[in-house]
Formats: sequence, C-alpha cells, structure tokens
Amino acid sequence: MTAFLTIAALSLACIGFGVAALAPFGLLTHRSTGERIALGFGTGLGLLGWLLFFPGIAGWMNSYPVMGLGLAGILLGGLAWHRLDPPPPADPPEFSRYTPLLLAALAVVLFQDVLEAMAPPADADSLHYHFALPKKFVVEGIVSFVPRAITGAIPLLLHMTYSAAYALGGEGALTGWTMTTGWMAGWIFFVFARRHLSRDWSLAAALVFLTTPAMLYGAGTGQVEARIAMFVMISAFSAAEAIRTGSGAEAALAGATAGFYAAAKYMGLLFCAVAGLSMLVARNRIKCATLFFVAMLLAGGQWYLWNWLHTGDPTFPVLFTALNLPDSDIWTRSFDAWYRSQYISSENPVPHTIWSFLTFPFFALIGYPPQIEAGRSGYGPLPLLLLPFMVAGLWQIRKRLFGSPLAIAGLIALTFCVLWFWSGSTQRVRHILPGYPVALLCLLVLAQRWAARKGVLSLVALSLGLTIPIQMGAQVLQTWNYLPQAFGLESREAFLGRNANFHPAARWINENLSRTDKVLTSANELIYQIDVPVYHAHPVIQALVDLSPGNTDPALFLRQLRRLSITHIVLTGNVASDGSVLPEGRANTLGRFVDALLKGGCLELAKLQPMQQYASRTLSAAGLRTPQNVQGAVYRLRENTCTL
Amino acid sequence: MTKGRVPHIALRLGLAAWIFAGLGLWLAQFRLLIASLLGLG
Repeated sequence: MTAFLTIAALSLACIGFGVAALAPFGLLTHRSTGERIALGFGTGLGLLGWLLFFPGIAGWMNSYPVMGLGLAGILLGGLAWHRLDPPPPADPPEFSRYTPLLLAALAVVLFQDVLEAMAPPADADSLHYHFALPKKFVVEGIVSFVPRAITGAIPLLLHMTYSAAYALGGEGALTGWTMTTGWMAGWIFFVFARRHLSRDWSLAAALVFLTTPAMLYGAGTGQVEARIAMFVMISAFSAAEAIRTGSGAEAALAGATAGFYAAAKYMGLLFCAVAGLSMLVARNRIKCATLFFVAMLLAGGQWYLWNWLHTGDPTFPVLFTALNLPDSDIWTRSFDAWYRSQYISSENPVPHTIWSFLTFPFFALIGYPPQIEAGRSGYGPLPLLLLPFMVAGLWQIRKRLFGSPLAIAGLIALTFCVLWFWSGSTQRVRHILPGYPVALLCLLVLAQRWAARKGVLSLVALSLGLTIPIQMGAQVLQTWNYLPQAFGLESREAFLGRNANFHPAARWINENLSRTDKVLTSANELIYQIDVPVYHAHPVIQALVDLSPGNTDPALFLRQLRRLSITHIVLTGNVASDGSVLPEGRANTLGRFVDALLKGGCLELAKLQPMQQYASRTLSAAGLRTPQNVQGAVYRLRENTCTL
Repeated sequence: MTKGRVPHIALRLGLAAWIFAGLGLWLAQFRLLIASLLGLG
C-alpha cells in the first residue's frame, strides 16, 4: 500500500511540476488532456530529479523533503491545470474490430510489468548502481560523491527520483516507480504517435515499443534509457516545432529536456549537441539557440559541476588526460591508461570505419556481433521487416520531407545515432534506446503512408502482427521467472537466491555483520544486496583500492583497506575448502592480494559458502541454462597477527 | 488480368518474401534458444 501511494504521489508530482512549468509559456494550449499529462510527466520527471539534487547534497535525502517537494508539485500542478483552457474536443471513441484485441494485448503486457515490479530487483546493473546508489543515498541521508567511473561519478538525475521512491516507499516503491516511468514512456510514445496515426495504429505502435526487447530488458529495472526516451521524444518534437515556427518556448523546452538527458547520462551530451545544432536552422535562430542553450545548461549542468568540484573533470574520467589533471587518491595517470585499455576495447567490438558504419544498422538488427547485445536487448524484428517500406516511403516524400515535424525529429534522432557510432561510446545497442521511439515512429509513419498508397497496407499490418506476438512471447518467457514471487509462493530471499549472483554472501553478511563493519567486494551484484556499509573494489573503474595488474604490492593494498576502514573482504569464487585461494583465483589481483594477506596473518576466514552465478536469469528460470556453482568466502581483517 | 495487376502482385509477393525472410534472419540469432524451448536442443 505504501508503495502504491508513493508511486501515485510521485506520478502526480511529476505531472504537476511539468504542467506548472509548461502552462505559463503556452506549451499546453490546444493540447489534449492525454498530451498534457504526457508532456507534463516527461518534463516534470526531469524537474523532480533536478530539484531533489539540492536537498540531497545538503544532507536531507530523506522522506520529509521528498514529501514536501511532492506536495509542492501536486499543488502547483493543480493550480496550473485549473487555469488551463479546456482541451480541444477529443475524437469520438471509435472502436474497430482490432481495438479490443490491441487493448487486451496491452493489458497482458502491462499485467506482466506489474508482476515484474512485485519482485525484488535482480538486474545486474540495478544491483550494481542504479538501485544501489539511491539506497546508499537514502540510508546515509546524503547524496555523496562516489569516486567510481561509469557507475558512480555520473549524472544521476533519474537516480534522484529513484531515491525519492526508495525514501518514501522502500524497495517496492522503487521497482514500482521504474515500472510506472517505463509505462509513461509508452504513453508519451502513444501520444506522439496519435499526431500522425489512427488510434489502432498508434496502439499497435505502442505495443511494439513497450515489448521491444530493449524495453523488456530495461524499462522495469533501474536502467535509465527507457526513461530518457521520454526526454528525447519531447526534446526532438519541441525542437522540430521551434525550427518550423521559431517558438522560443518550444526551443527552451527542447533545451531543458535535452539537458535532462545530459543530467541523466553522459551520452546526453551528444544529444544536446545534435538538438542544439538543429536550432541553427530554426526561424529566429539566435533567439531559439540562446533559449535552448540556457535551458539546457540550467537543466543539465548540476551533475557536471558536481563532478568538476570533486575531480576537476566535469565528465570524470573522460577528460582526465586531456585536462592534464594531477594524480590523486581516486584516479592516477597510470590507472587511467589501464582503464582506457580495458573499457574502450571491450565496449567497441566494431571498428570505426566507413564500411562498419554503413553496415552496422543491418548487422545490429540480426544480432551481430554478439558483444553489442542486439538480440535479447535490441530492437526486435520490425525495423528489418519494414525496411523496404521505409525506403520507398522516404523516396515518395523526398521533396516535402523537411516540412514535417516528424521528419525533423527523426533527423535529430538519426544524427544522434550517427554521432553515437563515431563517438567511441559503448556499442551495446540498448544505449541508444532513447532515440528509438522517434525512429520507430518515423519508420511506421513512412511505411504506413506508402503502403496505403500502394495498396499493400495489409503487409505492414502483417509485419506488426508477426512482431507483437513474438515480442510478447519473449516477455512471457521473462515473466515466468517472476510468477512464484508475485503469487506469494516464494520468499524475497528465495527469489534473490535463484536470481541474484552470489546472494548467499549478502545474506550471511546481513545476518552477521553490523553497520560498524565495512565490506569490500569486487562483485557488482552484491552492492545493493548488502545492507551494511560496502565498498565496491572494481578492478577497472575505481582506483581507491588499486586492483590493476600494475599493483603488485599487498602492503599497499592493506594500507588502502585501512584507509577505507574495511573490516571484511568477499571473494566470489575460486576458494578452496580450507579458505585458501585456488591458483585460478590468484590469476586476478584481488585473489592474489587475499592470498598474500591470508599468508601474512592479516585475514582470517569468517564464512565459506557455495554460491551461484547466473549468466541469464530468464533462461535459468525457464530451465534452459544451469547456473554456475562456485565456492566463495567472507574474510575478516586481523590486526594483531598481521605481519605485512 | 488488367494492366498494372501483375506488377502489383509482384510487389506484394516481393514484400511478403522480404518480411518472412527478414523474420527468419532475425530469428536465426535465437536458434539455440528456440531449439531448447522446442525441446530439440
């Protein structure tokens, strides 16, 4: 009940903040009620995250400021809504013979989302940081700087809203909030689709979007891309309006929502660049570009300032070398070289050549190479099936292409994808999900218009009719895992035990250690699961505990542990039955150091445990893949007997 | 057949062939998973 009330209150607060911000500038005039809710929620979500930053860093990250802000949002929104002109009359609710079928399919999809939201979080990245950081901020009552690349010192706008949900309603509200915000991305997509397509086609398009593998993968978890898609849709369509009409208000909205993207993820900077440059072709280009830039800076700047204040690099650690920053405890020149050698090569399997660039979209659609994860977290078959329709549609409207706001928005999304490919960012295709709904809408509208003219509309419908059941089937396979938990047949611990990597270690730590202890682990998935203070000693993305191969000094490792007040270390595998580290375990730096500390009398075995590692939760639950059983251990630091 | 009918049928057939071929190509990346689901792997 608390979770439900939290989600309802936060949703109303987001709509409220958005409506209160947009209404005075006339941005909701002549909009339908559905559009007002959609635009309000998308903008308000960014505003809520932006506002929460301030009490967060001031040490008031608890339920009271969240409640205060929530009430303010609801109140302001109510007042602004009351002053709006009545919306234009809605279309009569004409139901075709397909409408009930589409609505039923949508209900099935949403119901499965609810089942997912009722389960504890188990997605690896959510356990690593999307949910672990909000939990840490709320437990400690303050948003503190996390000196970790990629998963710590990053823009955290959306994580502020996760923190709000966690502070008010705990874990249930957190998973429920990601479900709700994922749904709202679908709602905004539907609302924009309705500007160009009939109700049935828009419903089918929304079904395709909500069941896209990348959405099934990330919308119900803490992954930010599904939520950022809202910012991109609003920004791209507002930019298109600003370009066509020269409206300063639309330009400012485009800038603010692009800024929210940058405040939620570094990749948003690319989008800001593309959407910002598009203002140069707007009517009133000086006014539009200025308003876009100011709004973008205000909306997106806070986390870059935050990182700059703590590290000297606003995009830590991207500019560490370029800015010639001095070595510090949290990052050094040699560690930066190690980080770059590991991260860049692992995240960029496709070379940056013209040929790769031209063929990338096609290969990505059929899931090659596997490292870009275009299968189970990609875009489904529809773009491939509708490719010839889209090409023909483009040719058909080539002379009046840029008169359409949809085409302008599509061009912005496309340019963003092009820039993404060449930027050297991670090539996992799910990272460009924010641009996908705009591209999908362009694809569908082009295909539908051309096919209708050529009398082959049934083939576009066939493509959708093949895609939706396949994608829904994938969702059923995914939901299978949540059924026992959702229907009360399984405890939280049991669910986590068969879904979250190394859960037995977290369980033992939570039952036996207290908040005066501090645990060090390299396992990403343990961070959220462990309730006592924990330090994430990742070998590549943090340097406070240097686990790069260049560090061979166990005494330095010990000093770093003492500086962080570490009391326990977890090893998640390669531990022998007497607690010693097996030769395979000594192949990595942490295992080698633990071995040295054990031999030096600086560590003792606290708990030896069998644990499991899951390559795929979904496939494991369906009995299609067996988890890997490993033997791990928790060690306690000993001061008296330490000879190092 | 009336004039224009044959190209129209060819267009429909060609597009339908593309749709099913595309779907097959897309599904091929999940062949191991599908085989497991069908009890074949």
